[in-house]
Amino acid sequence: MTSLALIPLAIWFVVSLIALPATNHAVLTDWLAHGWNALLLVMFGLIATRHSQLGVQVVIEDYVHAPGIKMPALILNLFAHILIAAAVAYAVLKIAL
Amino acid sequence: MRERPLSPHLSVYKFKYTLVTSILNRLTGLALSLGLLLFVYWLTALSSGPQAYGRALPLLSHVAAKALYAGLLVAFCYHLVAGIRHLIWDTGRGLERAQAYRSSWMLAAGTAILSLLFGYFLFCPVAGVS
Repeated sequence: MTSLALIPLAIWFVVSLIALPATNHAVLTDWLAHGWNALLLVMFGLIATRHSQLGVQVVIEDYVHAPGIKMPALILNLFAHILIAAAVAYAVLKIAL
Repeated sequence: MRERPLSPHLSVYKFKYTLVTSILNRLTGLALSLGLLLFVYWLTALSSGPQAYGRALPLLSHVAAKALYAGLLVAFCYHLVAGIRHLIWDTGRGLERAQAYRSSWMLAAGTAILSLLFGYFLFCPVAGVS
């Protein structure tokens, strides 16, 4: 239930952005080094990506009917989101660890 | 495969507010999916060191980018409230026609309030952020 998990996580993300004094490199890397911020950001990123993948999948299933396009589109959607998820996890962990 | 007949949909569906709220939920979701790409770009730049981030920052701080963030914020607020409405529907509550119309207006109001609230703190120089 990605939507359920995203309610607190997404709000946390927006509120965290508001609470940041600035968005330069130093402030952001410092923020990620403390407490649960990196963990929550990874969780937010991964769950949001999964949620996005499911959403786009439904859109493809609803509007794309040509058999030669539908299947590749669904596969491309999945792979693209896996790539995004990996990129998010890699980037945050690279900063935080 | 032989072309199969499809029953008419858009040409016969009666216009209702819930029609609009439903398609808007889908559109805002898609917009946010594009925003996800921006999110990944931002994080990748951040993890590539201060020089790389310094090159990305002018792009991310551009006026056009800020307009994009504002749009994404509104899309997010709408999608959040519409999503919660969907979850409430999943429990079986609020599915009567009159209730669905009423919640459509609450959805619009909620979106406006949240957008203004978050938008004020995110964009106003008084509040002192990016």
